[in-house]
Amino acid sequence: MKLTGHPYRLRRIFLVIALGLGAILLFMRAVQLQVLNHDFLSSQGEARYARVVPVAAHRGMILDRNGEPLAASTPVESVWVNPQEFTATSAQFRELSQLLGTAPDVINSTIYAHASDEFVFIRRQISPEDAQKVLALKIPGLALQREYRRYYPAGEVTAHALGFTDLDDKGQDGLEYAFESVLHGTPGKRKIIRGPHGHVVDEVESLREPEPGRDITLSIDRRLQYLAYRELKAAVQRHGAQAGSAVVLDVQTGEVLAMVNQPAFNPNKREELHGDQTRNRVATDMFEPGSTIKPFTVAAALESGKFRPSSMIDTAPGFFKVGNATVHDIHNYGRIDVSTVLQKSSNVGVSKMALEISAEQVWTVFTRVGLGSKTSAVFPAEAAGVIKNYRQWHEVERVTAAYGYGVSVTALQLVRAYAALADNGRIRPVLFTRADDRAQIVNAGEQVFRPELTAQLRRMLETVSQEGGTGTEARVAGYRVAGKTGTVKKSQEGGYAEHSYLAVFAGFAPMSNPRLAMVVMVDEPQGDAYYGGQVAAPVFSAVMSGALRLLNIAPDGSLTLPARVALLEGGR
Amino acid sequence: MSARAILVALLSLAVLSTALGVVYSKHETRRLFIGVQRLEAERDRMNFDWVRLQLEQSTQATQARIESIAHGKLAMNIPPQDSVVIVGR
Repeated sequence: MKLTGHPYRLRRIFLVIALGLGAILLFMRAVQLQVLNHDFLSSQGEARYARVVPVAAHRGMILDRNGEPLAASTPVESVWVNPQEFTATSAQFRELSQLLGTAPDVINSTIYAHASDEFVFIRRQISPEDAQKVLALKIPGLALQREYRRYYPAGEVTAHALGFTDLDDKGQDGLEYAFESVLHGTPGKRKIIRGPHGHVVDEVESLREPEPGRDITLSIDRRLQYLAYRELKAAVQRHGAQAGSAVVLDVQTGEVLAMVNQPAFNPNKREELHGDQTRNRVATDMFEPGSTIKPFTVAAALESGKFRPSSMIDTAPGFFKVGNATVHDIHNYGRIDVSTVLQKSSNVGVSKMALEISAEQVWTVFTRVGLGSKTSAVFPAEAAGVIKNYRQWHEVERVTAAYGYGVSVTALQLVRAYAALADNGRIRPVLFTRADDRAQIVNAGEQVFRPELTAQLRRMLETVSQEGGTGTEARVAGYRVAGKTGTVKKSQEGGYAEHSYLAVFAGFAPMSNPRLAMVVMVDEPQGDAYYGGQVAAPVFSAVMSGALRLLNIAPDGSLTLPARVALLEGGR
Repeated sequence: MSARAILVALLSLAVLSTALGVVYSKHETRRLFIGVQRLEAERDRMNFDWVRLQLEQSTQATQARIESIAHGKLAMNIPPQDSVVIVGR
């Protein structure tokens, strides 16, 4: 066979070489793609269609102490678009605008403003039903995202205590903020495959399950909360007052049963919030306690051993001079005993007692009952109050501090201090969540007074609500109550305002075995009635009367309207 | 047939059957995942219904509403203290 023996020999060789080279090239390219660049390319490819999306986690509920819901999150849908892919016919666009209740211009400009992004909300938080209608329009580049919206069934009644959440369902204020870590859920992650228009084709796998937030059971009793709110609101309106606060404490555990303020706000309408309304005055606002601090001055006097409840003090002629200041009483009470000093709320009497003992003794008692320090570590923005160290007290300050000027406290501190008097001198932290181990908490607490001393003080404070006292309007039919009125001139720049007052009442009931302590504070009542005994004491009476009945606390008194008592056969 | 040919045949068969097994289990995983998804969606829906019903009950049972119905519609009143008999034990 010669070289030219076959007519196509050259062509065959050429073809074999060419095809061989082609195959080798293809093989090398395959190796390059499949082996060398495999990871990069496959991740790029996946990124084009697979996505990891967050799965919103449910925020825990807030329940009252009886398990009634006070705040719960309900699902809503937010509408978002990818401006890169968003294309709608004019008919679709019109319908979309109608369904969302947003003007077409607004939607357009929102999308235009984010033209280079891949994600923009055009309407947040619409009902799931409306959202399905929007989705049914089948607009490319438009999708839904599930979110949660907080709903507060009790509305403004619980507004200040609970606070509120923001659009992303994060706690912003109040207990929503304080217990954020418990209530807040951890969002999950899910891998999905998207089609060319952004809609979900398939859900591939769950990378992390969403962890819903836990529920929280508060110490607040919704019924008492409502009662306190209703009575406080009525009083603030009746007296044309600026503001008001009321707080009810369980004496034996330190649990807050009700905490209300005026003016209030509706937490379900977040758009209308502004700072002045949302402040929880019970915890954040400091005020001079005025005469409501007198029981503690008297406690210091009794502890010193220089005074007994029956000791006589001469308050004539109804005023006396200290330095260049003058202490006034409303009337000249003459020579009265310590108990009457409290009953009549004599500034002169209590000032003279304070000067007989050392400033340190007064200051220690105030500090021991927690005035001038926070009541718990829980509530956001709680004020600590101000009580200057006794070493900085001048003679005038020793006197004014004795009847509650020159020191400032919060309603929460005051109610805790009164709860300590009510509970035989035991003071404990204020609780906002229900105490599950009641027995243990009841026996805890720091003993800051001798029990006998508090019993003496309770008897004196009961006389305040009896005939001749300043707080007769605090009486509750069927129960014996004890407390103290306060009418405080409001301080302003350069001194004290002439006609602006705080009307305060602090007390507890029932006397024979105190269960509830309460502080009512009404800011700037207008008109002739501005005394604590006229403005705040009736609120105390109305709330206590309802609360004692709701909590099934047995009557122990027969003040004006005696309750008949029948004993069952075989009873004790 | 030589022993070697039998071995190759057996191994090929094994490869083939495990390949099919992988396909089947992958399919099964998908199917079960879809099932889980459906059940989760149902659970969520039921949870939301539960929350919604609780809220509704709570809204219906607000003290203000109960009070206005008791006073207005049903003409109920809190008995005055002197007509209350307390039963002690």
